Amino acid sequence: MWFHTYTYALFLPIVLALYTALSPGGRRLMLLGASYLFYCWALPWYGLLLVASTLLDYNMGLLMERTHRAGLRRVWLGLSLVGNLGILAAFKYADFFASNAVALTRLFGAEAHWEPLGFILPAGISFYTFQTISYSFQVYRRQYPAEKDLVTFALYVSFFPQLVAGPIERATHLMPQLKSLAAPRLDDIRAGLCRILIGLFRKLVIADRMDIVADGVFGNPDACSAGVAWLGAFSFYAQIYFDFAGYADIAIGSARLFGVRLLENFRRPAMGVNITDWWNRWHMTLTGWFRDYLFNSLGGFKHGQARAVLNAVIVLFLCGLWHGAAWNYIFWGLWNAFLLVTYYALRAGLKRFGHFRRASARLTIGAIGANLFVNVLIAIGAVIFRSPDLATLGAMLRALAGLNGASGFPPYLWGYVAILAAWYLVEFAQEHARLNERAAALPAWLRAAGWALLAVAVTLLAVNLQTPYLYFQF
Amino acid sequence: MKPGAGIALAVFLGLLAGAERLASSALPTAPRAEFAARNPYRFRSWPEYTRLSRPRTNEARIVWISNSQAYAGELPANRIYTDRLERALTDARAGGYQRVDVLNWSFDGVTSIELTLMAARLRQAEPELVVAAIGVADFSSFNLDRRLSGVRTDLPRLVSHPAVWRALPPSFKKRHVNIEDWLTYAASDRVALLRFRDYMWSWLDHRWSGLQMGFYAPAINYHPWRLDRVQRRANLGGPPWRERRPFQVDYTPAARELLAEFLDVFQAIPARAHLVIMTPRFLEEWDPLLAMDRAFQRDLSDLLAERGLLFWDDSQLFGREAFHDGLHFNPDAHRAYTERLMREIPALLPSAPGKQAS
Repeated sequence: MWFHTYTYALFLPIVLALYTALSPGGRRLMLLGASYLFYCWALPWYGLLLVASTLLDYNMGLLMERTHRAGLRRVWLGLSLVGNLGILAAFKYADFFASNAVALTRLFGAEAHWEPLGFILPAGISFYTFQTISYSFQVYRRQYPAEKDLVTFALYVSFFPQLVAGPIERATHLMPQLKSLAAPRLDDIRAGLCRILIGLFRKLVIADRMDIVADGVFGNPDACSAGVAWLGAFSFYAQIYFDFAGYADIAIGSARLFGVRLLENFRRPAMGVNITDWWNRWHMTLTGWFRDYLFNSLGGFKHGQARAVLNAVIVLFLCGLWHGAAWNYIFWGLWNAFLLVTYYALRAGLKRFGHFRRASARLTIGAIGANLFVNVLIAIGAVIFRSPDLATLGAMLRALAGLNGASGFPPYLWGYVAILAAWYLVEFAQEHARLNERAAALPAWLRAAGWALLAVAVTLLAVNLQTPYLYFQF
Repeated sequence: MKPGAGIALAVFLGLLAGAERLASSALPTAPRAEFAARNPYRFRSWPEYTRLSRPRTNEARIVWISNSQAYAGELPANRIYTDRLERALTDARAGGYQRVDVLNWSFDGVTSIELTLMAARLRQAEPELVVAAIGVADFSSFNLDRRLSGVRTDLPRLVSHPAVWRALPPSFKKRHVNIEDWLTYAASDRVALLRFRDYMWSWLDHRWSGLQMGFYAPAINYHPWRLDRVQRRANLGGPPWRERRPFQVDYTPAARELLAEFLDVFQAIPARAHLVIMTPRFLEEWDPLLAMDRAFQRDLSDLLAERGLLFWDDSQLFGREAFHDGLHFNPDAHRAYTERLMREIPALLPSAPGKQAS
């Protein structure tokens, strides 16, 4: 089930009404049922994988809790990892790795063949497997006790607002909330609905609109001048941000209706002033996951800067692979690794030019320039991410460089430039002029009028497309 | 609830209600079907268009369900053959009626889904004669996989009306309708603000050409509104990447199912007479459409024979000179086709009460 559908608009109030009417125990069970209904709406067999992942980690958690032998705990953790990553590997990566291995074998003259498994990638598999792995790590590290109640644990894995595209939660944050589900409060409902409205605006009005340009440019880059190609690159950057952030808004807003507060996933990424700052603002729950469970496991910063950079490169390579079993995602990860390595190499020199870690610390021309430059680099990364093959990537890079001979910039495309500029200015005002705090200080009736206008804007400005959420495919 | 919260809620709901009211009053009203040669908005604003009043005594009604040939968007409405037919039948006092209305329920790009929906809607009407003038392009196999949301009009709003829903066969519902589509159309049928969006973007596009495709519907998956009175201000250009897709028709044996389904619903219309016409066209021997057209012709003939419905095969009525593109009539052909219809349609009209058919 998608968030931006009438089905969800019907589903959510029904679930909320049932939730209000039930006792705390009943609420958990009902939310679990609702979450499975939500997940299995398109393909019921998806639910079997969810059950398998739930049972595996529930039992591994209990086994880790019961033993004090470090070796045995490692075994249970290993089994959890093998099970979860095995599901992910089978459904997401098997065909990719096998077909590339076959191609490599043929390169050396040997005969090889692979019949693709052709599995349909279950929605959200990358998200919930990471969430269950996070639970296993937290139990293994004694950061959180193993959950004894299967229903609570199953709800932790499948809680519908964040099931298919995050935010990727931690047991320490989500589980206690699920164990004490309270009756809905008016403030939570108001805040939740407002957040959902913001998410719908971001998805239906901005992300889907940017898709028009991104899809057009990436579909036929040879026809595009440099200006149009750059607009296409930035449009895709904006699309993926507003699509995913819009999804996160609706997820956070939906959970809030039930009094559950989910982790934030984005913090004004357009304001990033260097590559590490950008990554600290983008898909924060995934970045945090990689930091805590991979980067730190590889040694983190403990073994010097060179080793830390190497660890970061490995993490970004795997982060690229996490997004999909295709070379463009791997190249995108490597592009980010390259940016990171370059940044670390030049960091000392950049500081002399007023390039600070946080633009908010001191707003200077240098910081704004660095901020814009980072966004250009991220937009180039978006080109790599979006290009389905090397031919498209090559054509896009030629177009960006103005080498394909196309010229012109149709007047209406300035509208898209204005949208991108508005994105930057709004985030700038949020970052530096405390826009959100000022809006929150307005009288209630005026804020209500603003929300009503936003609702009308969503209705009138939504694009006539049925675009699924981009992150559903990851 | 705190008083401030109550006021805020009232402001919120009041503004939404105001916007809905504004949208409702801003949407243009479609002319009544009895007085318009075709729906200028292609069935948008259709409650007025389809709310069929019962004809008065001595008035007959023919409902003409068809495609772009009868919609003839490129011609003034009074030159379309259905409008000419209406005038000719009325002048001739056909069937002894003082007036014969020919309601042109046609539009360009019609699909089997819309044809079936129109037929289901007519289950609540009792026209003297109902005519389906159809061709191979209306029953492309694409429609087998097409959901309601894939059609280009807002006729699917009709599925949220219980009477129409009941008139649709289960196979149609299973193939084309899912919960999301049903909810979408039920909502847009009842909320003017949701319908206003399409209208607003079409209006803007008439003013500043290029806006609609550039900002709203890149792969036009619906018909823009046709708003002849809006003045153009500027052309904002089109996207450099656009590739025009050729007109596609794909009639396969599987598409026969769509045809059979439509004919079942069509036959169930409580009209006093039914007629199915295979529309005139001109296809060259080399045209790949020809083989599909012949298959359609065979299927149509067989299915109509099974159902005992009256069938006119007009597919080869005219030569190349009658068409501007092989499928759509030149103005003179509209006149010629009216004459052909006038020779036989009057005989199909049941006599007016107390009169002999002319």
